[in-house]
Amino acid sequence: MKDKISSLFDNEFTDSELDSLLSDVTKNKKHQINWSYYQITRDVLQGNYVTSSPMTAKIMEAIEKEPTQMGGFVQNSATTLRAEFNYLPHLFAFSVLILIAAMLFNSPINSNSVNSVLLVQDEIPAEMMQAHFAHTATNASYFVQTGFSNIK
Amino acid sequence: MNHLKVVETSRTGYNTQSVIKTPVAMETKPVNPERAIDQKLVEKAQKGDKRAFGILVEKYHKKLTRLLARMVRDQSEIEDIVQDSFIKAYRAINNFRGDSAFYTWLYRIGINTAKNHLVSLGRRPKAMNDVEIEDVENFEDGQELRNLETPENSMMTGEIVTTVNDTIESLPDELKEAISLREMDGLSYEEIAELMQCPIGTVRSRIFRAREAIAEKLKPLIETSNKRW
Repeated sequence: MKDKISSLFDNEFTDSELDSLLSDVTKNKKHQINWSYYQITRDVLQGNYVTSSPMTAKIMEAIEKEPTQMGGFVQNSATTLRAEFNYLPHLFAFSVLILIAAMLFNSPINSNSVNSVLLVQDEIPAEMMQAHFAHTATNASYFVQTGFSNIK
Repeated sequence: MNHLKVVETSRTGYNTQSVIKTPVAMETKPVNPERAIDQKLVEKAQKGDKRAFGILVEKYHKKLTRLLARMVRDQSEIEDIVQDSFIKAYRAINNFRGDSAFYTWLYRIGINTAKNHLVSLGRRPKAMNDVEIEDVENFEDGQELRNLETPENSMMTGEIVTTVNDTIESLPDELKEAISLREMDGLSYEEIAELMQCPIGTVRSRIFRAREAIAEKLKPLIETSNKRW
């Protein structure tokens, strides 16, 4: 395992290894110490090493006092793929709405309703319809009758 | 007429130009492995893993310190600014969406923290233009920090540098060559394998063994150094 941590330090890993290797580094204190030695070695060999106070420890002490960050935006390949296609349900709903709107716009709503009344009327016996119209006030007669009744 | 053929050789004496840099597609390797590691560590930190953030601190605090040393001259002030920058980065970690490299994002936080610090002290911050920000991922300059070293730190630096170099000199040739090609010439395992004419697994093992030998020698020195603080 330790040689794999060394490989990880050199960015030599495969996609499938990354998660487990990083988990090992974050969970194992010894791996973290080795990691810091690898970093010192690299800095020395590249001419960048300078001794400073152990800042990582100080910074992490301060970070430990901070509330733990949870539930952040997680961007991995799976979520990225989901993010790329998450507009599809909206697109489908919008298409359905457009289709319904087009159908309503093109269909003769009023004539349909008249037709449906006539169709119903056809099924009712003629004498019943005559009786119905005889007792149903037309707009004009209704208001005239109401007006008379108020005067009385 | 003399024809001079200039062949660039590495610090280890190998002709590194002759190495054909072709990736082997046997297993999927990330396009930018460094960024892939950082992104994973950020994701872990976003899910509450503070130790993952600790690795990012370990990885970048010196680089950030070196950069901020160009704006602020006082060592203790720089350390405070670096610490504040990391705390701010941690607080805002959920806002990091990976649109830029983590270090570029951290660097911007560091610059703003340094500017605010200088303004609060009534000092005028040095301008850092966008070209420098764009180039920040490749920035390496130990000189800025060496200028700020105390005599005691400078002595410790000397001891550590000597220890690393002496240990490398004492290593068997194949380990010495492998670690030098990796760290000084920046070659990939595949390129080193080609140069040394051995399997990649052998390169991995040689580099690891060299590192372990160096770590073994560094351990007592670093522990003593840490106790001083």
